[in-house]
Amino acid sequence: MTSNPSYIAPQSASAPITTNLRKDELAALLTVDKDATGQQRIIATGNSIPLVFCRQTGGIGGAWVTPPAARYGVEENANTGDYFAFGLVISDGRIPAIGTADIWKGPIRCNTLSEFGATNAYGSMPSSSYDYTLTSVGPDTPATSTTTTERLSFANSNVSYSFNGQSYTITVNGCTSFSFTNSKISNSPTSSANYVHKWIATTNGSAYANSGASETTNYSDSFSFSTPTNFAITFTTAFANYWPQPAYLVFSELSYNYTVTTTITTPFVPGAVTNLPLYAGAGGTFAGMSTLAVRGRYAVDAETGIYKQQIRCFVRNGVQVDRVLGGNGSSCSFPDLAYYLLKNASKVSTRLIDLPSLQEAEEFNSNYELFFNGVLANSVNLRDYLARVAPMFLLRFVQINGKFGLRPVLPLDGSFNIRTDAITPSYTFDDSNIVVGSFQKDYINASERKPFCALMTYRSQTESLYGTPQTVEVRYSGTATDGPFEQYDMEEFCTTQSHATLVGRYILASRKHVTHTVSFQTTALIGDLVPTDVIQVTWDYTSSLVADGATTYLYQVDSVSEGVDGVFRVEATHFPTTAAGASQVAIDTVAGI
Amino acid sequence: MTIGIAAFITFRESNYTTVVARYQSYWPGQTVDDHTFYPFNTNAIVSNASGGQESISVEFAVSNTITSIVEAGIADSHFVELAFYQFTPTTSGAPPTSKTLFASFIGELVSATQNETTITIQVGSTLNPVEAQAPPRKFTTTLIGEPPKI
Repeated sequence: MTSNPSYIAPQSASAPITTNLRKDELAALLTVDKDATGQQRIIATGNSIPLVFCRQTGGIGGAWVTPPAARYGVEENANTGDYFAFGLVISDGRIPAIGTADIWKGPIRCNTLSEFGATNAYGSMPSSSYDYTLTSVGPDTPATSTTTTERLSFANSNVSYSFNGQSYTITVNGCTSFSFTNSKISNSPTSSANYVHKWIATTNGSAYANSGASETTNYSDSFSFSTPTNFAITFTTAFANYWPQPAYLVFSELSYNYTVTTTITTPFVPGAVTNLPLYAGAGGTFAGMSTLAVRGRYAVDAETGIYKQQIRCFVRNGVQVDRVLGGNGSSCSFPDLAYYLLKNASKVSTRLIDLPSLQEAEEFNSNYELFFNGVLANSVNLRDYLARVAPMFLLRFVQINGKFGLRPVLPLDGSFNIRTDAITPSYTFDDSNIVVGSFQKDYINASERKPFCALMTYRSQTESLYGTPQTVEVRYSGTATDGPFEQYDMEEFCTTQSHATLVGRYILASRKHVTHTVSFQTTALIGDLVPTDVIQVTWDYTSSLVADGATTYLYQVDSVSEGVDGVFRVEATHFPTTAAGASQVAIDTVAGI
Repeated sequence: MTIGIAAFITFRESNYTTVVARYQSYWPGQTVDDHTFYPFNTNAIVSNASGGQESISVEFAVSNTITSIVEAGIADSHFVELAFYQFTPTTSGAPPTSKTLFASFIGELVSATQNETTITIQVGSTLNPVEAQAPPRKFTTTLIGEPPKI
């Protein structure tokens, strides 16, 4: 750090060796989680409700989130595959619905799973259609069926059947052959009396054969079937009350073959259901937050335990906020984020927010496509956060006359572009209005001015690829090719190399060209002088060794103190310019280094 | 050339439109631009780009009136506006016809201390290191119920 506290470095460099520890403290860990097979995180009371702040424009932007689960339902099922149902909290505030194609679990899109379902909600947790219970289902015992077929036969001589009436039917189920010889209707099994008769045969209830319309006293016939058939043969007569009662149907020979089929079945027995010694979560209002319920079932042969994997969502459009330029909706504007947080995190009255400065900052950031696409997940002090992150959008978090605002780090023209032409200072100070003895000049430490390579880390992502850190090396041509390196972590919110590069150029240009800071007191009436304004200071100096001299520099105001004694105290940082009076830092930042 | 500097202070309710009191500390016994005289001192107004906490102290002589204003102001986050004017004093001591605003500050009445003779208020904002956290809300049992245990 510089020895002069009024000099504001854009951001302290990350310590290379402690980068991992530092990431643990950032939401980036949750936003850019590269462990695709990690277990679903569980919500914890006391933790901050994450704020997903992003907006996708032109295919750029959006944020990957790994939401925690407030409801946890699983079914370990050996028969139908493992099922899961997670109730997740996505963001504080209201966000537009997340599309089903943007919900992932491990390496796959959830909508490829069977029984997939997803429901977005605001102010509640979807429960219908989602089974938030924790069970294990053992293997089912399937129903079985065993069939045995036995071949039987009958053959005998002088077979007789006694009956009353005018017909008698012999039925053989499963019959494969049937043969009879010398049929006879008589008044006893052994009598020689023989009455005329006829016969009709059926198979499976349909007519098969018969003896004809006329009747006689003796028939013989035989039948065979390729498959077992329900065979019936009926002996009858057309003459009423002609046959003796009882009558006897007699054959000299009767034989048939048949099969008997026996089936033994056991019923289906479902697998035993065991309630897991876990808790699915219950209660809560979920007021003011966006939630998402997701369910699905894996195939039976899926990897063991895969149902526990973390849900990830690609949120294209984050929390809907009041925009500084008007309207309400998702935003990727850092000034919009600052406005939202100032109003909601600390309930700062809008009277104390310098809205015009936020609007100017938004126009500027939009011109250069400096967008915020990230998740605020870990609690940070708001003032520190805004002051730390604002330079990554080439802005400064300022307090002017009690009001909070954002001011560009470099002067802008009327179209909100960085000025690279000659700068006209707001005020000029010299011997005539600087209080004698108040002028102080502090040079920036040599260690701060050595050439270095800025390692600007940002987040590379697509809607189908989890965010991964990327680093772009920014250096002045031909300098610091082998270091030293300073790392600047923008992974939390920056998704474009152009954004990271632009900020890197500004940091390098500031460190190269800014040589000192000054402070002085003045009695000039400078009530409208505000931080980031550019002033000119001409300082006359004398010494016993050299003749009187004077130096004239431009400076950028860091702070202005206005007392009731009528004396203004100004602290400012060297604002290096070209011979034409243009900002050297601005030229290097815009044109490249 | 002699230059005079006068400080004006205005207390407003949290709706901003309702004025609770207006004071000036330069012209004893006179009302200037609707500001009655009441002695007070204040420190400098600072505008900065460092993100540091800035608030202003204003010290009043103790009275029942100012005490009740302060107590109500802290309870309901009343606004306080300070304005510093520069002017050329008149020979009669009367307020000048014109004066130049050279510094102003608006904030909320955030704290106060009192002793036997003075009451000192701090004018700033609730954007202080302890209270202002981002993200703003925490998971509570009311919000999320009883979390899962796995």
